[in-house]
Amino acid sequence: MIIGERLKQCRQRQNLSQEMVAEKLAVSRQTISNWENSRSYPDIERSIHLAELYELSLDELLKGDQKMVKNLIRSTNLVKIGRLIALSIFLNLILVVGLVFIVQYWWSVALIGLLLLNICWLFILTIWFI
Amino acid sequence: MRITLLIVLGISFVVSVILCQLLLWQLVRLDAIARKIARPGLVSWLASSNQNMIGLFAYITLRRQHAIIAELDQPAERQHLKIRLTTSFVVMFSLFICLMGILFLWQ
Repeated sequence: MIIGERLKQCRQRQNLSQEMVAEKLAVSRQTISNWENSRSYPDIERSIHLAELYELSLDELLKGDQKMVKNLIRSTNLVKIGRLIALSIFLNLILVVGLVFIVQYWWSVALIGLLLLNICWLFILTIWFI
Repeated sequence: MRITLLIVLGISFVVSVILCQLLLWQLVRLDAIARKIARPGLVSWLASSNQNMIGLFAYITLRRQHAIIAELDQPAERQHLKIRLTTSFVVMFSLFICLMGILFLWQ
C-alpha cells in the first residue's frame, strides 16, 4: 500500500479531520491533502509526529512504500551535501583571502591550484544537491 | 604540431563547455518541472547560465518553497543527468588543465 492511502486510513481510524492533523503538525490542510494523495511526502520529523499521532511505529507507517523510504534517505543525504557545500564556500573564501596576502610565487601557485580544485569540488557537490 | 594540438584541445574544450551547460540546463529544468515551478525553461536558463554559480545557489535557495511532487519527478532521469554532467565537467576541467599546461610550457 502506498503511503498516501495509509496516512488517510490511519487518520480516519483515529476519527481525525485533515484540519485537526494539520493543526497538530503545524502545517496547512493542503499539505496533509498532498501527502494523502501522494503528491508529496512528509519529511522525517513530520513522519515521526504522524506515527505518534496515529499510534503506529515508524516502521508500520512506512512499510511497503519504498519510494517514501528512498525519499527520506535522499533528504538526509541532501542535508549532508548542503553542509559540505557551505564548508567548500568558506574554504574558497579563505583561499581567496590568502591569495591577496601571499606574495611568494610558489605559494601563490599552490593556492591557485587548491582554489581551482575547490571550485571543481563545489560544482560537483552542487550538481548532486539538485 | 603544438599549434595543431592547441587548436584541437581548444575546440574540444569549447565543445565540452557547451555540453556541460546544456546538461546543467536539462538537470535544473527537470527539477523545476518536478517542483511545478512556473516557466521551468526560463528559470533553469537563468539558474545555469552564470559562470560563478550564483544563479544555481539562488535557485537552490528559492526552490525550498516548492516541494517536489512525486508524480512529476523522474529520479532515474535525474540520476542519469547528474552522472553525465559530472563526467563532462571532469573532462572539461582536464582539457582546461592540458590547455594551460601547453600554454605555459610554450613560453
